[in-house]
Amino acid sequence: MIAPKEIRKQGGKSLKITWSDNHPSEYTFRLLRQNCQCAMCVDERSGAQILKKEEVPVALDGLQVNIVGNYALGITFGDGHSTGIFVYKHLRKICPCEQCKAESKPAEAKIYLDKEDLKTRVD
Amino acid sequence: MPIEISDAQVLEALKSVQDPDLHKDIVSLGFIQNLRICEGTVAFDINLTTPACPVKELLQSQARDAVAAIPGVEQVNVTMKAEVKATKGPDTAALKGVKNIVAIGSGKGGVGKSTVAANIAVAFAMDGAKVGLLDADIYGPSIPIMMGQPGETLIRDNLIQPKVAHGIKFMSMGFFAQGDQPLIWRGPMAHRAVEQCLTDVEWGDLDYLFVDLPPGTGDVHLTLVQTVPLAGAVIVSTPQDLGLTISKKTLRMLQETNVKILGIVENMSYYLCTHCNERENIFGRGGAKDASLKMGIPFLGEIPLDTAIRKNSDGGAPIVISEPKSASAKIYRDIARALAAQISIANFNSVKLEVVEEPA
Ligand SMILES: Nc1ncnc2c1ncn2[C@@H]1O[C@H](COP(=O)(O)OP(=O)(O)OP(=O)(O)O)[C@@H](O)[C@H]1O
Ligand SMILES: [Mg+2]
Ligand SMILES: [Zn+2]
Ligand SMILES: [Zn+2]
Ligand SMILES: [Zn+2]
Ligand SMILES: [Zn+2]
Repeated sequence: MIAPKEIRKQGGKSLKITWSDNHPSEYTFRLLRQNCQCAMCVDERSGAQILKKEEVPVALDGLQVNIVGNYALGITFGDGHSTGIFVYKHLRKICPCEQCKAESKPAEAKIYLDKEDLKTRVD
Repeated sequence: MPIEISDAQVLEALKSVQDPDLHKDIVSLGFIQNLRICEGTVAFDINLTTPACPVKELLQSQARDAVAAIPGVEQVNVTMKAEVKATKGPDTAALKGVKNIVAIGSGKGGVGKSTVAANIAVAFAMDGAKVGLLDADIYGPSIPIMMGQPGETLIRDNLIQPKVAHGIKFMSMGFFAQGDQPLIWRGPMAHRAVEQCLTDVEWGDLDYLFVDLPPGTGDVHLTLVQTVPLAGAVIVSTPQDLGLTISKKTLRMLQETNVKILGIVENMSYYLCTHCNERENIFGRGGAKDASLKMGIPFLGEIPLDTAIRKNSDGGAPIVISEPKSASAKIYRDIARALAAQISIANFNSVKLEVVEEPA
């Protein structure tokens, strides 16, 4: 499984990840917030987008980043949102670098197993 | 005039002894401590990464022989010790005193997962480790009966006190069930119950905590991986699982959450005749072994179908401690040691990941 080798939080602005294959990724916290997969942002059953991506503030800070198990990051954003679990596989998929953008195909495969099996944390 | 023996000479000799699991010599691994040389007598400790080390005796005799071969050495005293290393996972609030948490899972129910969990947990304790066992099988808890203590748990200073039996601490989610009310834990309820067992139980300091997972479901597993770092998981299967196909869902769940699969145990592999102790391969041979090797997962061992295993469990004492000289007890102990080695290897090869905070 692809996993980070190094994770650097650059103040509140961006998150840098160096992956186990040495590929570097840099994400703004806005981009991460837009791609949150939690039950409030994406409908668990239909997979439909609930969060309106364009409504995420342009200058949204990341307050805290913590590692979840061996497979994901938990992020607390400046707007108080913290229910998302950012699975490594998904993070790598949304890498905004030119190379990854060029390689990524439309219609992506599902990130999770069955919706029954893997749910993000909703307390 | 006696020949002078130096520390360097002894360490050089000990460098010829390799740990077969970690593939490094015991000096470079930092196992050698307390080296004392007094004329012809050399004494030192070998501090292993687990008291359940399967090659403890081998390392001890190889080290003794290597040092005894140095000219001038007349006596070698080797003391075997162990200091279990912790899983290098993220720092979590829960279970700070617990070094390694190992999940025990299976694809379907009734394969003997709880029996394996109870016997290996007790086997680790018999080798000198500090052990806990959490029965997280919310659908059918069975550990309290196997451990011979089905009663209520005590709460002291707002913490649930685990029970103690056969040298280990244990706790069951079944203790939260009231009387004969059916257990209808689902989703959020299961999540809260598992969290409680991890944070509100006074586990104290443990080398290993084994968690008996419910078969096939994701809720408990997810809460577990999100709440505490896992050393890895053990899969229990039976020859009927035909190349582990039935465990595939469980395997995928572990892979999706990047949990290390420490090994596979095949239960009820063959029939052990109670009269002549002869092995009868009534199910054919080696299904799980072949499948695990193909997947690159360590195969930890195979347990016979042996009515004594069930009788002892029903009677409240795992066979590993109630009939320690039996063939089945020996098999459980070997499996426990093979698992201990895999946990040590996993900890040795992993690096701790941290989020580095930098100014913008
Ligand atoms: N190797 C064995 N030989 C004989 N009987 C066994 C063996 N292993 C387990 N059993 C018996 O099989 C039954 C099921 O075992 P156990 O409860 O450990 O399975 P399980 O996988 O935990 O089941 P569940 O899915 O209900 O939790 C028990 O009666 C147990 O004593
Ligand atoms: Mg069970
Ligand atoms: Zn969200
Ligand atoms: Zn990229
Ligand atoms: Zn919770
Ligand atoms: Zn016979």
